[in-house]
Amino acid sequence: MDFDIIFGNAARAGLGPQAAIFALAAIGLNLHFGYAGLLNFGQVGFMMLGAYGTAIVVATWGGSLWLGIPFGLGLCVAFALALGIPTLRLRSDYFAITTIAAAEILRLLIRSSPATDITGGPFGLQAIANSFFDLNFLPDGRFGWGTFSYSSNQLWVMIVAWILVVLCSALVLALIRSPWGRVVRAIREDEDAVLSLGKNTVAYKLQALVIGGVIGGLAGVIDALQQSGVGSENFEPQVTFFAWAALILGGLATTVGPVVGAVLFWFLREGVESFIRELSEQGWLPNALADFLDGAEGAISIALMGIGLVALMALRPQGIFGRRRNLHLGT
Amino acid sequence: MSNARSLRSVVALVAVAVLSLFLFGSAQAQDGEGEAFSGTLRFGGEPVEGVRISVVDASGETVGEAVSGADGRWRIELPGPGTYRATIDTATLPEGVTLRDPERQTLEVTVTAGRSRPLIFALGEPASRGPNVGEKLAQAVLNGVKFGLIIAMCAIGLSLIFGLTGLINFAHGELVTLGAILAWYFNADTFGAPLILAGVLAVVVAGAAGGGVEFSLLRPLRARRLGMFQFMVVTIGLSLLARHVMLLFFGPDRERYIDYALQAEWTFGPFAVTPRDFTIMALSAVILIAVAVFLQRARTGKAIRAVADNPELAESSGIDVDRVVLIVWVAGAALAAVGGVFFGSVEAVDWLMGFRLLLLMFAAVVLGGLGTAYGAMVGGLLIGLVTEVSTVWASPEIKAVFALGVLVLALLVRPQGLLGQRERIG
Amino acid sequence: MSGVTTIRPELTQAALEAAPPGRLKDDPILITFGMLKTFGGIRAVDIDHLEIERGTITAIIGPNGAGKTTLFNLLTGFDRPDRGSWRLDGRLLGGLPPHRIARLGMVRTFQLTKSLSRLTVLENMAVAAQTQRGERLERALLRWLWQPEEARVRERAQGLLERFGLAHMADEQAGTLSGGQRKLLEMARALMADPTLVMLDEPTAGVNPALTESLLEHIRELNAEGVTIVFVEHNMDVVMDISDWVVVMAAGRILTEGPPQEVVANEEVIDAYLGRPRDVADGEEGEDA
Repeated sequence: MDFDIIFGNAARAGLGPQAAIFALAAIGLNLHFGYAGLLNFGQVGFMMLGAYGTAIVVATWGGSLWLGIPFGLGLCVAFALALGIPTLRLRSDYFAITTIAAAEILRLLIRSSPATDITGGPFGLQAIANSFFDLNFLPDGRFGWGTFSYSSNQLWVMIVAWILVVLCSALVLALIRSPWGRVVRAIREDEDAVLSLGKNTVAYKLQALVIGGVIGGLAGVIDALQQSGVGSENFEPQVTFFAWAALILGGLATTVGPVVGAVLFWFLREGVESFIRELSEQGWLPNALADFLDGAEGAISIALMGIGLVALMALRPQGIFGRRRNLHLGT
Repeated sequence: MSNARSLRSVVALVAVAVLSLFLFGSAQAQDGEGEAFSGTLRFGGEPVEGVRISVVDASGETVGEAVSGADGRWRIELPGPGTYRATIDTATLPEGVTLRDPERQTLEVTVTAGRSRPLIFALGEPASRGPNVGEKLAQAVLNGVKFGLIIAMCAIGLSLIFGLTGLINFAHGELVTLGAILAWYFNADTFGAPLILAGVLAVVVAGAAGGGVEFSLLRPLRARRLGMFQFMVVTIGLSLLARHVMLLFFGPDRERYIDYALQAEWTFGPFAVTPRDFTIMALSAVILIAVAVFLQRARTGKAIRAVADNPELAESSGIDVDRVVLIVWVAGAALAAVGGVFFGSVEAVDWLMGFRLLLLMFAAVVLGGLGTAYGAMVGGLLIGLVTEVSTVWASPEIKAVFALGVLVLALLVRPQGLLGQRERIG
Repeated sequence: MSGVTTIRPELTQAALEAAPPGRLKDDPILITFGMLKTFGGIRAVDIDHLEIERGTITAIIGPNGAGKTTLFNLLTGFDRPDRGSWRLDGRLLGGLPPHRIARLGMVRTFQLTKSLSRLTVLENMAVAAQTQRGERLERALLRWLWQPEEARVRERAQGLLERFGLAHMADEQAGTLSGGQRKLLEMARALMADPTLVMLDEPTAGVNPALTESLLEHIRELNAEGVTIVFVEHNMDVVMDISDWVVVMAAGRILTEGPPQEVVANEEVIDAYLGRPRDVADGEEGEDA
């Protein structure tokens, strides 16, 4: 059993582009739910629109990447408005259900054959990030030690992505500490009370939805860049659940929570998968069990994640950095 | 699952393609021939002779012509690699023979160096225009009722559990899958039990599983006063766990039950239905009516409605709320499993079926009004009808889009759902 | 200004005995016409005419299910009437959303206190200040644009908290306050919004007697500063103590209205409401609309 390999894999995932992408998605969710109380279960829809918007401009219309990214984020704004205007007046559970349904239906639409000319349908779109990697000033080769290493391009994506994570965290923090953020947090506590004080709560919720959605869209853009392409199978509903898992792990309504949560999430997920792979490769298991586990690390780690979520809620529902006291105040 | 399957078919295709390249490639290399188009014209299995085919290059200049021989074969040598347009002269086709697809009279094809490209001009009767809109609509309505009844049955538990405990159960879809998969194990995999017996067994196990989750996990957590959000996360965790454990054991493929797989359709006017589907529709309707009668008449049913209406008031008037919630979990899970067996029988069984269905159930429940059993029934039927009827005009791939459309429209007009009650403020 | 004397002093004892509802006031701040709201066929609120005199303390009393809270919801825009019109300072309010009505100066509190639990007490106050520059998204990041105003808001909030005896809790989360303190906070917060008319839904429900006394003192002070006050109340001692005018509702209608002494003497009122033991009425959290 080679723990260097396992740890190296886990650390690579925990600091890698995927972790940064999930950190961005979770920062958006944190603004939505942690601060504004909006139960958005369709964050993956924003990620998908950011990614596809960018890719469509580049691959389908032959435009520039630097036009594609704002176009993708613009689609996120449009999605937030289309989703929010009919549902934000309603109870939060209706909003939760509508968002998860809308995101998945959008995905079905994108991968359907009538949309193939624009979105590439089930095949997705490729070769979109050349002008992004042209900016890569890092030398070729690998950086790191053993399994904990990245290619030059991966490192370039990571640098940009983690800078964005820091910027978005700072943006959300500054917003939340402003009087605007005070109104938003007040709405989370009791919307009727805030209405009675003369604030247009729907407008504030819509603004929060748009901003958090655009941050989620940014996560999608990074995803499209690091793969230099998009595919609808990367935007299944459970991506939202994983972003939620990261956020809850780190703690709601905290600045570092979504970031630390995303790092931990990917560290644990890859660590578990790598551990199972090592187990079967080392021949420490009876053959029948090894056969059963072969190629199943993904499913097992997600199943374990499910257990982990249940256990976290039962034992430490406030997350790692959340304060338990807050859980029992008021609502 | 479809990803894995399409991957496999892609691999198979590539393998065949590579193999054929080897065979034909080597044969052509021996012949020492250059680039060419070739093909065989057949109509109803017989070769068609004397049909002229011509080829022009990118600049429009004719580079070759050929007439099919007695064996239907034709071949046109090309001047070199490049893109060419091959056209079949339909005037030279024998009487009564046409192109199957009139738009494929001219084919644009790129030829690489040293390759001979086979071209296919498919001959035959023009494809029949199929059923008219009226017939399609009738069939779609029938399908809509069929799926609507199944969705309604699956969604009752979801809606009632919300009404009783305020919980949105993201794992409800997995109960559907569990029922379908268990029935498959009993029926097709190991025991070979008849589907009806297998289904009943599956429903019993799934009902017990639902009760087990409520009794051993959710009830203790409720006692600790977790918030609605924490409960949602618990059910998301359960959903991820259950779905992927089922994936581990069942695998990513679609499977079918052994019984009632192939049946001749009965036709009633514009409607055509297999005896299996007819039975499923009838059974679903009977079960839904039975649930309604139970809620309306039985002591426990009345208690369920009372708790859904106002839990505190019901508790204070002596109803054992925990017991009512447990009953609803068992019954809701069992109904979901019945829906799963029916759905698996009508379509196929796979590990994601319940999760896909969950979105339609959500739409149904919100449409009908969260928390009411009748709302779930009405909403389910509506969602089933809308999605199926949309396929008359739109691609079936996007039928779920119409479900969302109806949902958003309904929320705009009547936010509390069709049968829901408005909430009071203050 | 004490309200009672300004209200139609010419109305004689004889006229008051009839005490017909919908009486005209000298200087009404709020006028309601033909307000009807039904829930499933039941007339929750059915008021032909109601006026609230500027600068007075008006109590609305009535048994549970009389429609008092529903009336509050309708007037403040939290619920829509089936028909009816109402004006605040001459301005028609029908169809306006609640936040617009609040901005026009009619601010309400709720029967079940709505403190913003995970905000500090001071933040609870600050959020109520009207038209803050920093509350606009486009300025939220430009700290220098709202910093001076924010300092003024906090100063004013601190002042109000001192007046309401909550200053020592300013930096605590509002969720840690006792029930009575929350009622105080909610009232102070309503004040922070600079209202001309405050609607208090059962301000003393669930508050201990000592705190009740201080609450009433604040209501009087507020009124003395010129704020018109309408409140729903079950405690007749409180009603008799501080109100200038009493409106009695039953089954969605206004049974009678008049100065407190006369209303309690009204046979109809005694039959409909006062004759019933008060504890029963107080037992439930909400009245059925």
